Amino acid sequence: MNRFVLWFHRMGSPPTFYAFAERWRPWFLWSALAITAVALYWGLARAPDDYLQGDSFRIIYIHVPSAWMGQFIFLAMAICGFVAIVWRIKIAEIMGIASAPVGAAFTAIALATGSLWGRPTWGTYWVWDARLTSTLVLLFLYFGVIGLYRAIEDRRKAARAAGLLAIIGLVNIPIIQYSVYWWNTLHQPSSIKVTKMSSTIDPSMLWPLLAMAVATKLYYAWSALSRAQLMVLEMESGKDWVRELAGLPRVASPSTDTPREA
Amino acid sequence: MDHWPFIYAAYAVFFILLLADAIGAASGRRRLLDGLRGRAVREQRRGGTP
Repeated sequence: MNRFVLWFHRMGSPPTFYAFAERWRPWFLWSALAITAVALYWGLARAPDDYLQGDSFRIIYIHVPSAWMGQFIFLAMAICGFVAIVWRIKIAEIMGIASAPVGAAFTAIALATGSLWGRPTWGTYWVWDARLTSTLVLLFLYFGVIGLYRAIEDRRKAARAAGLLAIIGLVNIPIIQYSVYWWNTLHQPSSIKVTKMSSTIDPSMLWPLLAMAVATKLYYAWSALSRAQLMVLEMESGKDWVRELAGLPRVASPSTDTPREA
Repeated sequence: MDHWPFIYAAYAVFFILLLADAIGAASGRRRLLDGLRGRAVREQRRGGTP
């Protein structure tokens, strides 16, 4: 079997997933913090002023990575939702819903920091522009996913329903991406084109931005894994491996945890 | 126009929201494990199986 597929199957087991998260979470957090410190020093103190925007362009070091993460995490939630609905993998259900709060936080940051950048640059905090409005819709979709999950008592059904909403809401991602091309918007078109590996930003300003993009992804991994661990413990609270983790004796039962259980 | 107040405000929003998310993500595990221990102890005192 392909190594990735084998790893994916192993991650379907809650004890294996919990141990994986426990091992990697500190690495994700500390590397995110270290990269953020270097990138923000570079972006705030070393990068030159923009000839047109002056210092206000420095907001892009948090605004753009947050906006990317808002969309990236929603895509990740939809993929988890698809896996959860099709293969009923418990960890996919958990990872999908564990991603929602951090995705909502990044989307809210993108909207708030964009607004604070808009005031000195456009002369207004907010306009009902296609890019801004579709990003606001994304934030509401995150709230919808979280609300739907909390509204259903059965945790597994709730996670699958939230996953279905994430799949439906995925239609908003290309609208956000292409809104600046499909409509006349105040928001400028993308300065970085990932598909063409090209950028109109000077390298001295670009590298801190790319470093922040990496840091926010590492932070997302830490945040989602932390929440997922907690949800795994809640869902598996009667199982022997959780009792052992809590320092309690095992219960004499033949099948309280199975290594390949999903 | 001095842009730095907007930059400070934007960075404050970024760190405050991520700190709130981090607290939400990190808290609760110790409480949950303590709750499990407490539940098991109560069940053992009642004489039933946990």
